[in-house]
Formats: sequence, C-alpha cells, structure tokens
Amino acid sequence: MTIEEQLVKKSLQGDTAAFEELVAQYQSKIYALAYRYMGNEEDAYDMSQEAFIKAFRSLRSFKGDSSFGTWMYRIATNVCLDELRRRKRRVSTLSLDEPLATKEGDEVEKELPDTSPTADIIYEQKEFSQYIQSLLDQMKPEHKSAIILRDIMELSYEEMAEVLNCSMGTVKSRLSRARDALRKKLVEKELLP
Amino acid sequence: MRCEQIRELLSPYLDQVTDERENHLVEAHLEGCEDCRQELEQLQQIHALLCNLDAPQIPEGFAEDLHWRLLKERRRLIAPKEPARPSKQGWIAAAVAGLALAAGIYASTLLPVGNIAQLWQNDTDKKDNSAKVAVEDIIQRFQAWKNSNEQQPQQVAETPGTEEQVPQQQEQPVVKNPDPASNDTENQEAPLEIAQVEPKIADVVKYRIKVDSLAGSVDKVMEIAAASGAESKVATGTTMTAMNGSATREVSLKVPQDQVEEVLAQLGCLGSTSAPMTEQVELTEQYSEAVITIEAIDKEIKNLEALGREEDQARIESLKQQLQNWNNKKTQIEKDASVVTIKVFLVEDEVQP
Repeated sequence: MTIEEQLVKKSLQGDTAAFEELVAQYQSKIYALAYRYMGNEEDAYDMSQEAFIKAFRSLRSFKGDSSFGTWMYRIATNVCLDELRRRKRRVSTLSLDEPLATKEGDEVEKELPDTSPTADIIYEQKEFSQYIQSLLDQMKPEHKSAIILRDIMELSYEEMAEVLNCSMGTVKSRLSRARDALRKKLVEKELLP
Repeated sequence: MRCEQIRELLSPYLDQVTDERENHLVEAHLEGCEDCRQELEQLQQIHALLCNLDAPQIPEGFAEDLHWRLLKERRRLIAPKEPARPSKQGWIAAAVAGLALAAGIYASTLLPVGNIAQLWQNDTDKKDNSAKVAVEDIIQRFQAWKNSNEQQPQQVAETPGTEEQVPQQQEQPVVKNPDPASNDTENQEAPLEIAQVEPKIADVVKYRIKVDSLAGSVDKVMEIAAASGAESKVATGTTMTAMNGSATREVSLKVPQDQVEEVLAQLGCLGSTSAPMTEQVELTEQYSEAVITIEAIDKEIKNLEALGREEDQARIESLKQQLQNWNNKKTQIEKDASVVTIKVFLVEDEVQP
C-alpha cells in the first residue's frame, strides 16, 4: 500500500489530519488550476476550498483506478465548470471562439471590442500573463479545459481523458482546436511571428 | 496530403502522441510547406509561453481555513440522521409482511379455515406447497440480507488498522457515482463512529479600571487573584498605549465561578471602573478538534507499537510529543471553560508626559 493509499484509507475513517496531508501535496496545483479557470484569486480560493471539501465528502467514490491527484483534478475542474455555467446562466457572456448565431439561424464570426493592451507593453511578463488569462476567460469551457490541463498543468492525454471523462480522440481534437483559436488570436495581435 | 489535414495533426505531433505513420506524413509535408512549418513553430511557442506562466501563489491561511471547514464537514457527516423516511430494512419487512398476508389469504381460499395453521407445519400437503415455499424463501432471503447488512458496519468498525489483511467478504451495495463533483448526496453516509463532544464555552469578563499608578495596581490585582485562588497573568507586551495616549496594562485572571463577584468587588476598589462587560467564547470546535486528534494519534501510536518495528521508534516518539501537546491543549480548554476569565484593563489616569 502506498503512502497515498494509506492516507486515503485513514481519511475514509474520518481522519482529517490524514486528509490534510493529501491536501498539502495537491493544494498548490489545485489552486493554480482553479485560478486559470476562474481568472481571479478570490474565486480560485473559494473553488479550491470547495473542491477539497467535496473530495472529502465523496472519498468513498474514489476507487483508486486513477491516482488521487487525477481524481482531485477532476473534482476541481467540475467545481469550476459548474460555477462558470451557473454564472453564465445569469450573465450571458460573449465568447472568443464561439460563432454568434443570427436571428436567421446563420452563424457569423463575432467581432469583439478589443480592449487588450498593445504588443509593445504586452511583453512585460505580468501584462502578458494577464493577457493570456483574459483570452482563456473568453474561451468556451471545453477549449479552456484542454489548454489549462495540457499546456498549463501539463497533464498527459490519458490523464486529461480521465479528468474530462471523454475519449483520447476527443482530447486530441479539442486541444487542437483550442490551440488554434489561441494561435489565431495571438497572430492577430502580432504577438507571434 | 492537404494542409488542413496536416494541421489537424500538428497539435498531437507537438505532444508526441502521433503514431509513426502520422509522423512520417507530417514530416514529409513540413519539408515542402512553409506555412505549416510556421504554424507548428507558433504552436510550439504558445505551448512554451503557457508552460512558463507564473504559477499563482496560494494565499496564506488556505490550509488553516480548510482545516476548520473539514472539521465542520466531518461533524456534519457523523451527525445523527433524522428519521425522515423509513429505512430500507423497514420497507422490506413491510413488503414481506404484505406478501405473507397475501399468500395466507391465497391459501385460505383453497382450504377450510381450520386447516390453515396445520398447513404451515405440514410439508406433505402437496396442494399448497408452492405458496408456502415462496413465502419462506422470501423470509429466508430477507433474513440473510438483513444479517449481511448488520455485519457490514461491524467489519468496518472492528478492523480499522488491519483492514488490508481482511479479504472483502461481501460486495457492499455501494451506489456507483461516476461524477463525484456533481452528485454527492450518495456519499454522505461515511462510516464514521466518533463521539460528539459536549459544548465548551468560556465566560470572559472585561473590566476597565482607571488607576493612579500602573505598577502598584498590577501588584494589587495579582494579590487579589492569589487570595481568591485564581491564576493571574500579565498580558505580554506589558505596557501598551491606549487610544487617548494613556498607558494601559492588561492582566488576565482565571477565577473559579463562585469567586467572580468577590474578585470584581475587590478590583473595583482599585480605582474608578466602567461596568464589566461579559462575553462568551465558543471553544467547542477547538475542543472537538483536540479530542478527535488525540484519538487519532493514540490509535496511530498503538498501531505502530503493535508492529514493533525499529524504524518506527522516532515516529512514535514524535507522535507521543504531539499527543502530549494536544492533551495540554485539551486540558487548557477544559480549564478555560470551567473558570471565568476576567480581563482587567488598567488605565493610568494621568497622561504621561
């Protein structure tokens, strides 16, 4: 039995200290994940707390088929996506990569008012990081997930398929589209050669 | 191959998840296509940019915040369930009773009333054997099911430390939950068996006294405390400056309940006082944490000692140290809840030059 498995077992018996040891191993990653999904520190804090509480509550459904880390990513991803969906229902936001449907039912590429900083100041690391975040914030959920899990959190395709509960083929095509959307935007802003 | 088809492959190619045939196709195409080469480069750059984004720093206090929430969550999980709906066993018992009744009625239609009792004992009565067997079968199955259900919790409770050595004897009727994040109601009945602690609440009285001289008054406060058998402690940081510039000092007294009035009266003689303010401090949560942690550490020590391994000695020592600390904490809370804390704020009347 690995240390992680032992900790999971103890947590199941109500040992919160054991669960907190698990948390200590993953909290930075889960927080980083939530930050990329939510785009700000406050929401990232709330969502990652929520994810760990949810994990503690539903530990019995963790069957050990995947690693605890992958399972945790999955819970955190779902917590963030649920929250974003909930908010979207309230405030319908425009998306960067979703075509607009017109009244006649046609789809047209949408023109977003571009309020982002210009190329010369973007190369300041912090500004750039914020700019990338603003692009992520505008992406549709499945593309956002693909970029966050693969390019930022550096999960493998197999792990992504588990986290997103989809096939490897779906992971591949979503990631391909998501990267392409991001690439086009950066080229348009002359941030890529 | 056309550019669009190749472009579909560039992202997986970048991640090295394409197969040999695909690699070949991509590489052959890239040699002759400037545009696709550029696109691959751009994708590589994007990947590098995203990998190197600064990881956000987790705010301080995250773990502590979570710690309290987990304790709260656990208390919720182990709280006694409301008898809101009949248990599964209750339903089944009712169903069995209903079936038995129906079978009885069915049997009675075929037999003279007086023969019914005899029927249940008489296996040779072939005519009504089917009804009888069916009911007994259900009752037997129900009993087997009930027994197996009763054994389950014991299994969990009896073997917390050695569970891995016990082979799983029965498939527990666990509801599969493929998506833990979106549905957690099925998972709330964790097999936790932890005693609830009684509430611990500390009474605190704040008492502000204007005095002529700080130094002399502190000594007098200590004397009053000693006379009534109370503990006293001058707050660290000793002399502070109040808002209006007066020097103040805080002395904290732990006074037995029956002495409080007496002590307050004596303190009142030291100078002009404001009305004492009382408040209550909820210590139950800390207390419950201490109780639970002590239990867990204790169990861990026993487990390790039972194994008797040389390499665990250091860990056992450290656990014992922790146990000692938690026991002290627990005792302190018990004490705080059993006495009244009087916080005396001595304020020097004259503004110091």
